[in-house]
Amino acid sequence: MDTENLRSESPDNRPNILFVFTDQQHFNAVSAFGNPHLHTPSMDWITREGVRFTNCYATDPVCAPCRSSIFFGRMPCETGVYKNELWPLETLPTVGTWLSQNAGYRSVYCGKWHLFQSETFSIPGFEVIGTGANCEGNFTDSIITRACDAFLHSRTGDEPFFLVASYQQPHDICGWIDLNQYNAERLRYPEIAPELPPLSPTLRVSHAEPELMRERRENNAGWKNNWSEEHWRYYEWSYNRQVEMVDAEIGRLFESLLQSPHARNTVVIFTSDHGEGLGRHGFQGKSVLYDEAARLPFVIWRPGHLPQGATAHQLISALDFMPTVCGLAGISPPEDMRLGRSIIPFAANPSAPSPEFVVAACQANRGRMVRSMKMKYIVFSNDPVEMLFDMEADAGETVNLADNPDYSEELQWHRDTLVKWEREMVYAPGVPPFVMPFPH
Amino acid sequence: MPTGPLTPSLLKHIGVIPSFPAAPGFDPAAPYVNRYRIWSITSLEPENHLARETGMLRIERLPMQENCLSFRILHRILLEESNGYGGHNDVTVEVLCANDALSTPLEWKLESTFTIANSERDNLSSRETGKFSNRQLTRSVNGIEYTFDISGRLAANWCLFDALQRSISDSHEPFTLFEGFNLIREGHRVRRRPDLDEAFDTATGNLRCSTQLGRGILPYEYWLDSSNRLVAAISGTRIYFLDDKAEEAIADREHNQFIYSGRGAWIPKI
Repeated sequence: MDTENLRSESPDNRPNILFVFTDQQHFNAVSAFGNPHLHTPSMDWITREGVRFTNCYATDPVCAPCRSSIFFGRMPCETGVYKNELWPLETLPTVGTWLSQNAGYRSVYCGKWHLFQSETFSIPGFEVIGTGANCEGNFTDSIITRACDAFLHSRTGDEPFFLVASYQQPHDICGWIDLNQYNAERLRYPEIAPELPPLSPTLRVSHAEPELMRERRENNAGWKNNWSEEHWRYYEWSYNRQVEMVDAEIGRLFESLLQSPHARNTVVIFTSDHGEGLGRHGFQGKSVLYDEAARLPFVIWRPGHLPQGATAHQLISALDFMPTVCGLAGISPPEDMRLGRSIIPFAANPSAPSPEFVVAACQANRGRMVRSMKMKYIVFSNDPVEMLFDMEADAGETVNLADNPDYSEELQWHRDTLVKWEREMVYAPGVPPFVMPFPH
Repeated sequence: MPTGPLTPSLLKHIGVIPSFPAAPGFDPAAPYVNRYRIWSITSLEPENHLARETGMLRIERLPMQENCLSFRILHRILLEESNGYGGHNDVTVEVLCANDALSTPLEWKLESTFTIANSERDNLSSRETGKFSNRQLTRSVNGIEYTFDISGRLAANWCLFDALQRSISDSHEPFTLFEGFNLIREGHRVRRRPDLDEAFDTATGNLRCSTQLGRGILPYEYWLDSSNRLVAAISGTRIYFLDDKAEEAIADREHNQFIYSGRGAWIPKI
C-alpha cells in the first residue's frame, strides 16, 4: 500500500477517525507480531506504519461487556453490561453521541454492535449502515467492507467522520467449534498436517485456579470431548484461516481509505474486543483472564503525527478508547468518565512511563484481574484461590505465585490496588457486587 | 445427535436439503442457469438450532463470446437486524472468462447495491470494472483504479463453480483466489477427494467431492452429481446448495419477516 501521496481535503484539524474492530482476535494473531502460522499482510501493513501496543487489555474478555467499555468509556459493571444480552444504561452517552454533539463529527457505525442486539439499525449517536447477516463474519464482513468503501468515496458534507467498521471475524470460530466438537477419526484434509501449529505448550494446567475458571474449562468442547492433540492443532489452524479472512477485508478497506480524499487526515485504530483461547491453559473461546482471552492486539496509525513502526509497551485498556478518540477530536470526555486516559501521549512517545496497572473483570462480574507492568493478579468473588503471575519471567502464566512467600508484598500490593479500584466503581443498577475474598 | 462437518448427506438428514433438482441432459459446456440457496449452520445442538437461510446465488452461463465463457451472476445476502428483516445486498457481475480449467476471469463489470430499510443515507452503491491480463489484476471502483500483481493463475470463486463442472481434475499448480471479485487470497489448490464421496439419494446417486484449500478460507468441499453438476459447496458454516426455487425462497423470506425465536430464526428437523 502506497502512503507517499496521501490526500487530505479536510479544512480543519479534527482528524477523521476510522475504527477497525475485529471480534475475538487473539493478541498474537498477526503475522507481523511474530506469528508464523498465519499470513496477515493488511494487519502487518498497519503494524509497520503505525504504533503497536503490546499490553492492551479488554475490560472483560467477552463481547458485549468489553464493547460497552469501548463505546461508553466505563467498566462493564458501570455500563450495566456485565455479561452478554444486556442493555447499557440509557443515561450514558455513546462515543458517537459525544463526538457528534460536542465536536461536530459525523458518527457512522457499520457491523456488529451487540449492545444489546448484535445487529441493529439503531445505535444512539450513530448513523447505522445495516450490514448484519446472521451474525456471521463469513457473510457479513465483505458487506461491511463494500459499505464502508462506498461511504468513504461518496459521503457528502464537510464534517469529519468517525467511522466504525466492526467486523465479525474471527468470531466464526465459535461455529467451527460447535460443528467440530468431537474428535475426527482422521484429519479431513491430510495435506494440512505439516502446517498445523504446534500444540499449545500450556494445554495442561497444573497450578491452583479459582473454581469458576476450572468450571469454564471443563465446559469447553475440547475438554469435555477429550480432543486429540491433532484436533487442538486443527482448531488453531482453522482459527488462523478466519483471521486471514478478515485481514483481506481490512486490506480492502485500507486500500479504499488510502485512495480516498481523506487519507492524510485520518487516524486508524485497530483492535479487537477480546481474544481466543487457542488451547492455552486448555481453553477455547473467551471469558477468562489469562492473556489468550484478555489481551488485545492494538495498533494506531496517524501519518505525519505518530511514529511509524513503533512499539509501545505501556499498559492500556479498552477503557482508554473513548478518551483517546475524544482527545483526537479536541474535546474532553464526559466529566463523570473517570477511569480511562488517552493513549496518544504513549503512542507519540513509546518510552513514556506506563500507567501502574489496568483492571479487567470477567464471568458476570465475579472475577477481577489487576495487571501491573511486572505481575498479573486474578481473583474471584468468594473464592480463596488467588493467582499471581510474573509476566516478565512467565509470560505463559504457568506458575501461580500467590502462595509463594517471596511474592507476598507483590500479592498485597495488587490486593490493595484492587480494593481501591473497587471503591471507585459506580455500579449500574442490578449488577451483582464483586466480593473480595480476602480481609480488607 | 448428528455431528459435523457438514456434508450433503448430513444436511439431508437434518432436513435442510430435501433433494436436488433433476437435471436431465445437463451439459456443463452449454448455457445453463444454476440457482443456489445459501444457508449457514453454526450448530447442530438441538438447543441452539442455528440454521438459517442467508441468501442466494444465481450463476447463468451465457453463450460463448469470441471463445470466452460468459457469465451473469447475482449474489444476494439478506441484511437483518437481530429482531427483524432489514434489507439485502446484491452483487451482480457480468464476466468474461477464459475457456480454461479455472474459468479464469478476464473482464468483468460489477455492481453492489444495498436495499436497506433505513435508506435515508449516502448512496452506498458501487460500480466496478476489472480485467486480468499479463498477470496484473486491475479494478476500477467508482472511478479509482487499483492494480495488483498476481504471481500465477487466477480464479474467481463463483466462476470456479463452473470450472469444477467441466474439469474435476486436481489443480496441481496453486492459484490466486479472487473472492467475490473483491478479495485476493493466495496459495489455493483444488484436489479431487474420492475418499469423501458419498451417497445422497436414489435420484441423485453418488456425489463426488473435491476440496479447495488456501489462505483466508476454511476448506471448501464441492459436491458434483453424476451429470457433473455442482450441487453443493460447503465451507465451514457456509452452505450453497442447488435449488431451482432459490429465488422464490429468498423472496419469501424477505416478504415474510421472520419471527425472532431466541438465537435461531428457523428450526430444522434434527
